[in-house]
Amino acid sequence: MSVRTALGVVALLVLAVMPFVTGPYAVFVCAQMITLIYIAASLQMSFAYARILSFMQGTFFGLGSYVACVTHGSGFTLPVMLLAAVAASGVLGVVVGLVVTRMKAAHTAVICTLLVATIVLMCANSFVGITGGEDGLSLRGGSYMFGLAVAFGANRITYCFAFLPLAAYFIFVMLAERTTFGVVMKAVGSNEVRAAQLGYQVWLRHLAVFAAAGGMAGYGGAMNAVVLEHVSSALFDPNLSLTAVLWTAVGGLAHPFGALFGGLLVFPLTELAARAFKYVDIVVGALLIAAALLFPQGIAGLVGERRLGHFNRRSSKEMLAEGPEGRSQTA
Amino acid sequence: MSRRLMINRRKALQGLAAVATAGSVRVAAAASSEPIVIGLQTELTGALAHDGGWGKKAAEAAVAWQNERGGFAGRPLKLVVVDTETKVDVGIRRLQQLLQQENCDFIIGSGHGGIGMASVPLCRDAKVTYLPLARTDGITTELGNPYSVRIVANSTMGASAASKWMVDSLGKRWGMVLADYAFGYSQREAFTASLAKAGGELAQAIALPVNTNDPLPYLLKLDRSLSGIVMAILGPDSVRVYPALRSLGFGKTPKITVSCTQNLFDIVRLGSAVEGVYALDEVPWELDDYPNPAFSKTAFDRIGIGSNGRAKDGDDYVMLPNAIMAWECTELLRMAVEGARWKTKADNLSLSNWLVSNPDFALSEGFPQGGFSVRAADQQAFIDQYILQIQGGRMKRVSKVAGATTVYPSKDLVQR
Repeated sequence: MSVRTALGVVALLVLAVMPFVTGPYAVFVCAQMITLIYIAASLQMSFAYARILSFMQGTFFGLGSYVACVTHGSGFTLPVMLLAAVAASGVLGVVVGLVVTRMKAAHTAVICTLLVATIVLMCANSFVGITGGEDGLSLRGGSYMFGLAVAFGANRITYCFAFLPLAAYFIFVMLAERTTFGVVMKAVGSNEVRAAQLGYQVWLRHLAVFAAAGGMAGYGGAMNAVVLEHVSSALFDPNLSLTAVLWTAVGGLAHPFGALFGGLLVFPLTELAARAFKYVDIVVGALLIAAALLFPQGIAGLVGERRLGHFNRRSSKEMLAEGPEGRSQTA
Repeated sequence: MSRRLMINRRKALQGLAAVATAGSVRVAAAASSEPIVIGLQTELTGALAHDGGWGKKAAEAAVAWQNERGGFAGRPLKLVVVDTETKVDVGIRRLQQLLQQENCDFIIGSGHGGIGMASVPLCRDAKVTYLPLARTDGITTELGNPYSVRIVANSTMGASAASKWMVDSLGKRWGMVLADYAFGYSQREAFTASLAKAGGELAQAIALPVNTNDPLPYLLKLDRSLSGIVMAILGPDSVRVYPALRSLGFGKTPKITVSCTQNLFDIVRLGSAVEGVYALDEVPWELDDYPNPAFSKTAFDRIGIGSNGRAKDGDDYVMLPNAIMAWECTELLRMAVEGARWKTKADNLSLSNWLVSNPDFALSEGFPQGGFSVRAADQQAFIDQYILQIQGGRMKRVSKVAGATTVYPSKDLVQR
């Protein structure tokens, strides 16, 4: 097990025990952080396996929130709320993915996703009768999950519903890394020409990954609505996606645990900074610049190296021989 | 022997009682000196930072003033300020901080509608009294509960206050330029209903996307036969729209700004482009236009507002309604704490009952805006509102609309 994986497992264990050893405020903050990590994790998934740097993961998140809110208002129980959120975000992922996956240049996909996010935000602000606009809609009371009453807000049950699927995703990716499936997915993400030459259906895989990433962000959005008991059009603000980009860039875009590391570092840091400093965004911006300069592969890249300092001494030839994940290509 | 035992027992009991009494006196003394914690959930960064900054100044000034006067029922006050960053998710997180970490007894809430809407149910569940500065109708029309008390005027009250005056004084056929945004649409709904009720009509409404660089294509659609234009747009758009309206020939058409939008930017600095523009506000801008300038002077001086309604230091424009309302919120809490003999958060329901049973909060240094009462059904206060006009670069009072005329029917939302 690499240092990176070990750190990831420790981070998951810390998050797992959090609601049982801390007070309600810490549970609330952690639950909110976990739901936001879904955006970062989905962005990382989209970038690593579909080669799409998506600036609309926040849009999937917002859609999931609203779908959960609307289905709850229509009298459906929690499983339906969550499934509907995942399905709706996944379908939007397919629709946008059909366009974005055909764009060959990286910057066109960025612009396209950003434009879609902006259009959705404008629509959300305009269709006030449906979205409630900036004032938003409230989720009141609670729901049921297989007969179990679930109160909305931050509590141990909603925390588990937010945390467990995320933990399962990270564990799945960790275990699948060395399977044929994992290797093929990495291959279509890192070198689509070579993967296509080997006979793999690259475009379809990219589309499936982008849709799955959308569904994943949608689940996070649904749980965010459950924890915060409120949704508003502000959830569609592209700034939310930008935050996810920041978390993932700091944590490491190339490795799944990057989203987790980024979230666990940046979110508490901004919380602490906000108590001492008014313009927190300056701190966050400085952190991003520092990360880009000092450890361009993020925390995951930094701790993943067997020998610290080795990275800086590598020759350009070695670097060229390596894939985007800092390892030799296997596919 | 038995008599001696009895005496001893009696003495022992008396001794125990004395010790217990002394203990309870000490506990009471300790409790009475314990500060009452007021949280201020406000915007210090982001789009509403200017408004929130003045809310903070006013709340700090009000708490210092109350502490100098002996606090609430002899207990000192402590103010905890948090920054929502003008974001709903951060606003909710900061509210949880005030509720769960800072253990606030009362919270003066955000001026942001979405944050206010999200916060009201959370404070209800925590049984902490929340006084929102947001003007969104839903806070009292949908979410009303015993732990939420609002003394600012909501959109419906604002539209009702302005409409009758607009129809009587300026004409019946009105148009509206509104922000393509929840705020703009709530204003459109409110004015459609209230103008019709006042005998006029909202004949045209043009939605302007927020932060539009070129508003001309939208404004060209404006009907030139309108009696006047209701301006329900936000600060950054206002600075482009007013000069554009003048260049399109609407310079002399009466215009009225609504729901404190004139406070979102330095309107009088736009000079001739805004000369003659009317404004509906919860407070007059100039000290001499207040019902009792001597009362208002305390708040103005303490907060740092000059007699012309601008900042004493630096000549900055002031979010006057939020500043004065934050000041009034602390006075409302003082009266309620003392009137309801409030001791701890467990008494918040009694405090709520006292608030609605008190017939009138009269004009005073603590309530410089004017007197009001709180309706029991939704805990919405009905305050006087003011029609102002920009005359020679100053915002002068033109008319006052009594709070009683803006009362609208309400569902019995607050179950006691």
